[in-house]
Amino acid sequence: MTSCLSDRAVDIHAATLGPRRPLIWGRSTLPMQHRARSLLLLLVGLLVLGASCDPRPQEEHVLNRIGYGPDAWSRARIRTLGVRGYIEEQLQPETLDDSALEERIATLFPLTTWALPYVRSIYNEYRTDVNVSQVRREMSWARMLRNVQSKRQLEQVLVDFWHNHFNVDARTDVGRWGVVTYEREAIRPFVLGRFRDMLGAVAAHPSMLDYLDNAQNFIAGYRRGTTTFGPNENYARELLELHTVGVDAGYTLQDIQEIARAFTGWTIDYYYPNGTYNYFQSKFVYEDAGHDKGAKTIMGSLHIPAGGGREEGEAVLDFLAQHPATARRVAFKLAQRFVTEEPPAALVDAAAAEFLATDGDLRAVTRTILLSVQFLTPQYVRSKVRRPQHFVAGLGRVLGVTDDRLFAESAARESAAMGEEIYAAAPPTGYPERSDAWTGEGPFLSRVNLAWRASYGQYGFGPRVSATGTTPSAIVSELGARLVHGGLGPISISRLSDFSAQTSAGSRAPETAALILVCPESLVH
Amino acid sequence: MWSRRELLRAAATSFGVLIVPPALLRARAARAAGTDPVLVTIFLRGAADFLNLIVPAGDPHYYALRPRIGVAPGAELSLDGFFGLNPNLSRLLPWYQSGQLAVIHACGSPSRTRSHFDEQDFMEFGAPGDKTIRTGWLNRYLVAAGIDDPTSAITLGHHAVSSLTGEAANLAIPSITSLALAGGYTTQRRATLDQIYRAAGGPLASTVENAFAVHETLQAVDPSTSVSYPSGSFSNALRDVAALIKADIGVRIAAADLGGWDHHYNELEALPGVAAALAGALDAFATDLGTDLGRTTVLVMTEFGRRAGENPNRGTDHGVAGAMIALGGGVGGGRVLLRNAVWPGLAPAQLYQGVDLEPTTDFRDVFSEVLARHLGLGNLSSIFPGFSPDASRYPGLYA
Repeated sequence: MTSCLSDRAVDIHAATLGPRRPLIWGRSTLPMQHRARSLLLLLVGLLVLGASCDPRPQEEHVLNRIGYGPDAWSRARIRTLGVRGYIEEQLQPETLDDSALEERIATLFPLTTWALPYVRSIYNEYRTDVNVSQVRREMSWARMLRNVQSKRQLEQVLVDFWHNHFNVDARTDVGRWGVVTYEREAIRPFVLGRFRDMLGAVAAHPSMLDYLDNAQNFIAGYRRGTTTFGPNENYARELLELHTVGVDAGYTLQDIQEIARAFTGWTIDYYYPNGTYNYFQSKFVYEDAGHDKGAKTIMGSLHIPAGGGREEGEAVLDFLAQHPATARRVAFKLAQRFVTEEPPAALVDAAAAEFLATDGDLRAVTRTILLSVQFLTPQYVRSKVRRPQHFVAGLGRVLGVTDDRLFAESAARESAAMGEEIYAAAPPTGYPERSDAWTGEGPFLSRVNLAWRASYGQYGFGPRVSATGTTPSAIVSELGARLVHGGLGPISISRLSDFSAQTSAGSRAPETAALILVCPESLVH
Repeated sequence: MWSRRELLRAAATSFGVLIVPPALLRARAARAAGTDPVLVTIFLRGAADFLNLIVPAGDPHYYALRPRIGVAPGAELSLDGFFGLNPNLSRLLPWYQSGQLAVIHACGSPSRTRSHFDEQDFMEFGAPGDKTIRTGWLNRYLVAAGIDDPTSAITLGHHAVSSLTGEAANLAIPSITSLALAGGYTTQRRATLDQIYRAAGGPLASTVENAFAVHETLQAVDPSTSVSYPSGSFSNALRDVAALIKADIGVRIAAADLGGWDHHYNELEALPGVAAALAGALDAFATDLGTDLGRTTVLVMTEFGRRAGENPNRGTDHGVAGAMIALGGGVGGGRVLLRNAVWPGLAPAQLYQGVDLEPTTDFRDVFSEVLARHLGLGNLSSIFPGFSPDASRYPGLYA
């Protein structure tokens, strides 16, 4: 239980060392001496400040890590339910009503609700009213709007996390039209479900079949239309390295080849059964004539007898989804996302054990991490750099949105300008989780400029920031509390007050807000 | 000798505010015309059909393979009697004729996967077939040459190109002016953020410091030119590259992309436009550079060439060998370069797997020659994993 004790721990740690003085960046850790001193100060602080219990720093941490930062609803909600209650509710997104938002998205971005054959028909230019590139645009706009307005913040974060884990670049041929159902049908339904179900849905989705070439993976010499095919190892390799056991699990090139053979014939309905080209190709088909019927042995322990069919691929997925190395890899990546980039072994062990004990129940694994003592450890608070998507969404959540469409389009464009174009990570590894990948100079200035425009109510943000206070320090204090839930540090307060004093009274509030929103307190989480 | 970044850092410390001292700017402006060699890489994304851009008009099989979409006999702009330029590339012809433009034909990757993403990565990471290499060949060059300054290597675009990905500092900007701060109070805002981040420490502190330093540097670049560029984002990017080179702020590598080359259907509707956009922008760029063209090489590349024969949809499918174009004052141009001066040929028995132009020049041989003879890198051993550059295999760009 996240008692007032741990709330105090964060607060007092902050109070004694200055709220954000011990910014722990990336991999760096506090020196041992410093940590001992922190502990001592913390204990002293507990005695001195026993009565006060400011929950905001811990609330901020939770809202930033399992969502895209605080908005009015989530602030009130976490105050009502407490940190643990809020986490538990987020783990049950089906209990949170997003229907009004979904109706708005269906109206604003209708392509995101289409079924695959119709999206595919755009690609073949049977429709002239929409361009194929509009599909990914509308998807990324809908992503941005959900990030800001969905109550299901954890689900949104997990959709991004798992899309990235099973990355497909939606700029590729099939990705361009498959992006709509890839997220809707292969990722989102399973982010708090069973890992094996997501693995299977991804393996059979046209986007993945195309992106990692399994749609072209057949027994050598197999003819389809006018083309002769052979085995393609691409999917098998990434299935092992990225989707499941990881590169250090001890498999060999032969294991990759054996798995590729097991998946021969898993393809897309490029042709109708009568052999004519199918312009509405949109679904998985298994072509038994292209399947390699020989016996296979995988990683020394999965033996597949000769003569099988589609079920061989399923057997491989079953085997890999239950593998301890998969449990460990999933546990590690989730801990890296939610806790810290070098997660402690005890946390990874606990989450991996939960994965194996629950047959890969991702709700149970995620809960293990979010309710762990490590999740709320002060050392990890504000230790990660917010990725562009997170930063942009965070602005929308604290400043508000006055124009859904303008905001969504601007947010997707700005996130792309900072290096995170939604649905457009080229390599199968997706976008990097590590903070040091997101500290570029150009993207930093893009953040400064976006924060300024947003504070003035441009790009669909807004309204323009105003304050009731008039003096520079009153404005910094008021806006600091409003825009940074856990509060500004003393250095920021002091420098911002100096800055605020140099601005004209008429523009003081938005100018000050624009800087608060790019202070370290706002760029990390 | 201090690096420019160190100078800026020192200046920032002593001034307390991160502003480049005017003396430093004047010192740079007062320098003689630049002497550092510059490489500009242009990646034609989507696999450009070089058989229709640099036409092997002397190979009769070309016309048999391309009955509907080939450049008609005699319509090509003759280069050497055997090869001819696509008429839409006419603005490149004067540069070829003046000996500043060379073509390396039948050039490609030994990986031969015919996959856009694989082959783009293989070429930009300089490691065909090896998906474990995730740093770019140009970034490894920067590391080997000890160059580590964001303004030394600039991608004109939102993201650094993969060839510049890696440890050495580099910069991705959509345009020269894109680093300007929106709004007013810019001096005060920069100073405030600089002070806050300096106190906070950590990796973002140097980000902030560098960001403002780069901005100051780029503010000194005059983006105007008297040369008339065609319209379009690619042309705009090259105009900015020219301004950066002319301003002599220390740019060694610049990169820009031109997409739209994946012509599976109705190639004749799409190719002329992109070809003309490429040639028009390159012509304007080379003109704009003036004397700075002497220290610049532009290298135009694509991930692979297209299938030798046209497809039933009046387009071309994914193939293997393509070509590269090199343009610059130091380039020994006016020639179409082939490995051992032999055209691999388009007869059925000469084609790779019976369908594709054979890549006889490994793209790494081209990159190696540019690194050694243009950028002056002495030791190339760390640049291409599992590949030993060998001067005897250089195509002869600077011969």
